[in-house]
Amino acid sequence: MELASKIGTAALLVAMLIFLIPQAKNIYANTRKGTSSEWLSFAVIICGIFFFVLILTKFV
Amino acid sequence: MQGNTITVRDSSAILATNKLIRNTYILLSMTLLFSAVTATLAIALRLPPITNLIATGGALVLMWFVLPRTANSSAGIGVVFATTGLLGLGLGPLLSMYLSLPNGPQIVATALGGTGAIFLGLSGYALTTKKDFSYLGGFLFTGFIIVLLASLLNIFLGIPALSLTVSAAVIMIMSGFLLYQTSAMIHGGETNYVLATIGLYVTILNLFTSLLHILGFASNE
Repeated sequence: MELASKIGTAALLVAMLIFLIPQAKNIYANTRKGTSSEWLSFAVIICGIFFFVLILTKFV
Repeated sequence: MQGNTITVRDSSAILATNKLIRNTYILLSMTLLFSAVTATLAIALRLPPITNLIATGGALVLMWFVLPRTANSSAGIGVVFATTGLLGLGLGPLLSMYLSLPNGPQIVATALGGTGAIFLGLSGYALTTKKDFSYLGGFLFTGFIIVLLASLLNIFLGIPALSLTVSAAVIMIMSGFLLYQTSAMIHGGETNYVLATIGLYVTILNLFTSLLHILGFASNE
């Protein structure tokens, strides 16, 4: 990657961080806490996605 | 009498939710088609890789500063098309790069199919179970910020393993966002179909580009 492109990408990422950090703080403070069963069901879904992506890598 | 009022309110809320979901998916499919057209245009015109940076910057400006002011008017739809058109244009050079690989078309097609399958599967799951995934908000936003910091670090370090880890983390986080955003439409967390569309569009785009990266890596290219 050229230096100018690297600097441009870095500037874009910094802008995203500046914009998103206050929103993330707000959401983190105001969202309800999930129960252990809710987190477990989410973990199962994510494991399913992980294995699906693993299968996809076998096709290429 | 009170029971009747509650029933009327419930049915009007259900109708509003159904309308929101229908409008969101109609606009989402139209914007996806439109960005496919702009991406094809970028490939045909052989636009340079810097297009991605410029188009993404322009799209972020529209998303952050213009869309919140126009989301409640018809102008919001135009802004959504402009944003997704720019993001599609930015995707063009990346697709050109992958398509030029020996098994490039297969990588792109697999990434496209995989993204579609994840989107349909998770949206279908959230819509049919009607589970409330609002508890994921803090976790997903924090995870995304960590991913952005890692990406920033890796621009200058250039570690392939870190790049691959970031892509894998983005797929997991975007999968969570799909559940979170779909659930928000059902449970009233999101009532504006323009904002719901742009949220889902960006999630799908991130999912697609990360999957493309992982599949490109898996095929040793």
